Amino acid sequence: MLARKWLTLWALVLIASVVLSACAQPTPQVIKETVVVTQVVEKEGEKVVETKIVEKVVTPTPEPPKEAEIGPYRIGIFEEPVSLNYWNYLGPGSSVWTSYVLTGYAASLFGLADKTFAFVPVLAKDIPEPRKEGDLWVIEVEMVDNATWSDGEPITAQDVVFTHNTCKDLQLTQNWPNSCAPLGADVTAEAVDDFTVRYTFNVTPSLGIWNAGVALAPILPKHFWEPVVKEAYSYIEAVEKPDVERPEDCEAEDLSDEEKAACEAWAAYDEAFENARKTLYEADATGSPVFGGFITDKWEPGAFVQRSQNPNYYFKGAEIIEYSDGTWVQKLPDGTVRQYYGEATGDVTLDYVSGPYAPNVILSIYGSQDAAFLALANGEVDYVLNPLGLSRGLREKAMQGEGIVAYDNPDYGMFYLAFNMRKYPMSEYEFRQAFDIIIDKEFVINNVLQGVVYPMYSTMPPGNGFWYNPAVEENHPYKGLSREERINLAVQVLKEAGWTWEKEPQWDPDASDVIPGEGLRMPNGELMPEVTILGPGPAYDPIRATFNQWISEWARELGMPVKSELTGFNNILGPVFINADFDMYILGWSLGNPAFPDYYEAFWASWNDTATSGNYNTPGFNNPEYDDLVNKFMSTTDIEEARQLCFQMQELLADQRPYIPLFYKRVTDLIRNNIELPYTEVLGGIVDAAGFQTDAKPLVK
Amino acid sequence: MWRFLGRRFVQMLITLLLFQAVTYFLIDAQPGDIADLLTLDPNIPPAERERLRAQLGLDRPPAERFITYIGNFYRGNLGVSFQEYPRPVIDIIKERLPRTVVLFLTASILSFWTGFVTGKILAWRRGGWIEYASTITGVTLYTVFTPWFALMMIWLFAVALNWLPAGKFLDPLKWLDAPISANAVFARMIWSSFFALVIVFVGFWFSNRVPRRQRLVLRAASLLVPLVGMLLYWRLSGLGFYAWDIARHLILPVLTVTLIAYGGTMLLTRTSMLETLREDYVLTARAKGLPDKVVRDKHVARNALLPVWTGLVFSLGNSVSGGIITETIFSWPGIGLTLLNSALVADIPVAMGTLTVVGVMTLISHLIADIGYAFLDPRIRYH
Amino acid sequence: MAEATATTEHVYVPLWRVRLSLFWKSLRTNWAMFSENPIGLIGLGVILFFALFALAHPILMNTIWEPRVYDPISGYDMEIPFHPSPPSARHLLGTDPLGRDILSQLMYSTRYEFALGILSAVVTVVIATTIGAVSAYYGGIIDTILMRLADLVIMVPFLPILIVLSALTDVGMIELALVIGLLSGFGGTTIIIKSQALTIKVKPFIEAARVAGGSDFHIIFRHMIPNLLPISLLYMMFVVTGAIFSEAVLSYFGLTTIQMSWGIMINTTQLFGYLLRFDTWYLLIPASLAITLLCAAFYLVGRALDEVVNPRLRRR
Repeated sequence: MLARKWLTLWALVLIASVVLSACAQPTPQVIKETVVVTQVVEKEGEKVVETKIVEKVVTPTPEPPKEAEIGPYRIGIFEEPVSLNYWNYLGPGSSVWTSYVLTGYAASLFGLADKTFAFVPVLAKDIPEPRKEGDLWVIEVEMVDNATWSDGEPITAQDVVFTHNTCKDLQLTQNWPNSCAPLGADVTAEAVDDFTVRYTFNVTPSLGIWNAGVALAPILPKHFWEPVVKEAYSYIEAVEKPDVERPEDCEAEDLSDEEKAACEAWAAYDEAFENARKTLYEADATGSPVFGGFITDKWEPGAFVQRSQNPNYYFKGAEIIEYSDGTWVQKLPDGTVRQYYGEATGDVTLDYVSGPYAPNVILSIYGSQDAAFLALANGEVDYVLNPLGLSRGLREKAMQGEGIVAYDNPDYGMFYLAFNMRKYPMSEYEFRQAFDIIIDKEFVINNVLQGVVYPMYSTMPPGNGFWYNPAVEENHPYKGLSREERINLAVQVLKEAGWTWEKEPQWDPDASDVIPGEGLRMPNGELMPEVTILGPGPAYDPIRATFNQWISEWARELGMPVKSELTGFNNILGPVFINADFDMYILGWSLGNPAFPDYYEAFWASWNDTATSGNYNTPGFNNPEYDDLVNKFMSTTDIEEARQLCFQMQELLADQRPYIPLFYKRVTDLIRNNIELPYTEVLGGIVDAAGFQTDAKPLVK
Repeated sequence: MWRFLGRRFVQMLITLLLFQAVTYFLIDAQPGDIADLLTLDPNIPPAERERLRAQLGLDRPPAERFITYIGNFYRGNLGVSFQEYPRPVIDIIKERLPRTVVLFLTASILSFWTGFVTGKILAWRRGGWIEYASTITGVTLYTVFTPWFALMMIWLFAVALNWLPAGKFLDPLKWLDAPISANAVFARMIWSSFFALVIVFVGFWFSNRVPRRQRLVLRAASLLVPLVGMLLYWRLSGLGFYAWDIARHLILPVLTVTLIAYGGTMLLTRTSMLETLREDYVLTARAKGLPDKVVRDKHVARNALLPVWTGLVFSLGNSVSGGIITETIFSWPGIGLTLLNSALVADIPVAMGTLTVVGVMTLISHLIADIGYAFLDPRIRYH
Repeated sequence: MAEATATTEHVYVPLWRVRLSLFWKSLRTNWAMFSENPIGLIGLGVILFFALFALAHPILMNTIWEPRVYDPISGYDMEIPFHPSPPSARHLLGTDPLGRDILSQLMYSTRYEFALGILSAVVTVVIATTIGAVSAYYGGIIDTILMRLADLVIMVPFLPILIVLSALTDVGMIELALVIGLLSGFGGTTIIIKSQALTIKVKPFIEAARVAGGSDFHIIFRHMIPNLLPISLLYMMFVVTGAIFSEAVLSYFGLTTIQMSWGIMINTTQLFGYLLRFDTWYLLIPASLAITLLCAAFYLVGRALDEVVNPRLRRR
């Protein structure tokens, strides 16, 4: 009897749970629809055939006899993009992973040519000349009138002005100022007509302001973003800029009433802009039209991002030809031909037709480098985007995969040893010179590190051929010296500058080793204090750690009490970039826009001293001659003059040595051979080629 | 019971607050904040750094920030991520927590069950090579260097045998035309498995209360019904293809975590059984002439379950800690991986959010442990 | 105190000799019990092996291993053209991607693993035993506060806290040992030792000492703690296991500033991309196996001690 009761109860619970799970199911109609979707998955071959027809139209290059089918382009990445909002991407949400997912998203008036990084028009019809109007400078840009966004809306001067004004009025942060107010210049944009933009500058539109700044500014679709931007403006419309000076310290105890009022006014002003920007950065970008070859239409967090072809891509089918004399030619499908920088003589160095070819680009998110390269070896992806640098083991592993090809390109970066020139003895010329003498880069790189990196002498990586001054390395006085010569020369240089030892360092020919010096006194008569070289530890970067240990070892042979302090990156950040309180450190820079190396101002101009301005002149390098050069460099509009100035700056830096460049890396891209790329030789690696997604043809084998 | 729960709740709240305070100030005390990291680019002027700092609220003193944070936290606002600005932390947790919980819940239940059953049998057979072999296996699994073990599992199953995918949550190429998002499919997987488990559990529970003849039928039915139900559900919804893809990716991580946890449970059960065997009532039961199996399963095992239960519950609470290792190696986008990444870049809101999740999970598991005692041990009663 | 010494004077045997002989006796019986357990002996054997392994390193470095080639941190073998190289006569376990001898690294790291394990275990035991005894002896409010603290510390997720700490400051061996020792000392171990201390507190000799006028301090440190030591020793073993494991995981993630350890060896393997390569097994397996073996050995000894200390587990 009891058992029966239990049985009934159980049956009831059973029915209840079945009902509950039935409720969780979708309605029957939806079920049928989704079944259809699975069939589509199975019939994917058909979809590929369709894209094949498109491909036939746009590819004039000779085809293999059997028509190659083009499949999805599968790329591996290791981390999630931050968001798909382009405003946020150039603002606080910037990340290299987002850039892969949003590449080609925004339009621009001008751009950089493939391979040569020459300044070429994109949506502009021609390269305009600046002219002076009274105190102001004006540049008028005529735009092409038949370009459209992916949704078919035309791209007009209104979009350009809209983006410029949003950036300027909302005081957008991080990377945005470089687009609308580069180097603090006041730039106004107006639409003269639908396809003409007029820029007005309060200063000379130098290379840094125009060519590397406003001209390259992104353009975003006004018709999509206007509602959001309007909402953002609503926060700042009511606020006036306070007409009092911003008080220096609002946290101070003894504020006068006036100061208090000023503080409050400014706080309200700041907050309004804060909210305005936040509205924009937070906005949902789903469905926003794009300019480039692919539309990012699906993001499965933690798994993958899918991009599909933009049918309205303006440059689809355009042919780009470059010649060895520097000529750049672009033939648009509508017959327009644009040619710059030469007469099209010499060999053709580049000739390709712009895509997009792949029906889809799928960026799979792998949690780690190891997993991504395993996937490459196993054939799950065709290419792995790797901003972290490829290690030897991973390379070997991935090369075991079928049809993997490696492309080696110089990286646009620099790893260096910096001196704190505000402190004695780092401020001594001969002290830094002695380090330059004893550091045997080739030894560490070739013998210890087995050539994973390359020795560097100038502050410009050799890969950037236009700006690189080869004389610096050719004339480097200490290149190729033996250990004995190095130690003797360093001792001699220091001695001449007034350094003394109780026991001088000696070269012991029998042991082929140095007998370290003892009791080193500096020219001011004091014993040399202990100095440390800060640097990342072996767990973070074994290469820099190895360099650090060797450098301090060599310095100790000279009798200098030098200690390597290998620590976490967070612990280097504070003393170097915030407090400017260190002795020496080893770090690296990734150098940004190769077309105009404005880092020469950021890293070494005296007004950018970290200690006084919070900028990036960490060594505190203060040299009037250099300041003069850098000023000319930043204000010239003539690229040839800029180049000569850059050469001089490289020589001056190689002599003064606020930094001793140590090495640069090479980027190795591993890519499966079914991916046809228009070109593979490019500074920074394939990923720095603008069309690494759009112009690639993933053939199905 | 209710008074006990109320008191425990207050205690838990205080503990959680303390925990949050400690972790907040620890993370906050890191040299260099995220504003420095994000603006370490010569093209970004230093004024931008200050502006970003103000925007993230980093210009306020830590104590003030902590109070604001706690105030917002208990109003349900966990802030926005610094690193993935301006994504709300709660979003990130909602997305990743289910993945971690499923992985570790499945693995814990599996390891608990297998560990308990084998431990029970092993305690009964002392001496001989079986005891040593099983102890060595158990200890090896318990003390093995987890990352290495996980790598070896990948090597065996994904490389050498090539049976299973090596990592990740799903295979992107299969999901290009998926009608709904992976998280939605995953949520349905969780719910359907939950219902299925409830049916099985209830069925088995009742089967002990019906006559022997009906028992078998009932047990078979409670296994078959959910099985058929699940099959039908996934077949009809057309999502079975996608669910299977996720499930396939789940197997290797679950197997690995299960094996690692299995060693501990097995050893603990064995020890606990041995201790219980010395109790007088076991001797009495044996003296009554009850069969060994009955003494073992009814008299000893039930009491020996107590510490094992504690172990299980605690291990659930700690699953996030362990998750850091397994999730990193299997590229499993769960809460452990998020915690590791956010703590390293001083993304305070995300690190705090995930750490608090860990804390809350531990607290809840301790509470469940205490309540579980009351069921398992009739001598314990809470007032 | 005075009376305690008076009683010993009557017997005319110095106290330390009584203690020593008692200690010796108990050691012998305990060893007899311990040695019955082959699993504990295996563990002890492994620990001894690693101890010898660690001791052998400086000897080898001073005799047959040339420092320039075999130094675990800065060594480099120029005679081998490509690193990492598989095991050979020159390098029994091969070389790592930076051209350093793996066997030498393995041996060199062993001493630090021991130091780390033992230091954190000692810290744990000192804290846990003191707190456990004090808490049991006084009870009341002190007990409540200390036990709530223990509850809080138990709740702390170990690994995440270590990760947060490593971002906060440079974590070397000593810092790591102290943190691990503190966290396990204030947490679970305390609670177990306190429950043990409660059973000792009610023993007659404590009452006798109190009647004899012994101060609280005297009773806790001379009577309670010595009786808690066996169980403390037992938990030391488990702490060692935990400490070595934590160090390895943290170093593997690249979060410590330790120059060389088993975890760093695996980290180097990963940094150079050899982690998921199984043809270069000699980079991954020796260090991983060493971690596993040493952790297991301490755990086995702990379990065997458990059977000695805890009579309910004995076979007979």
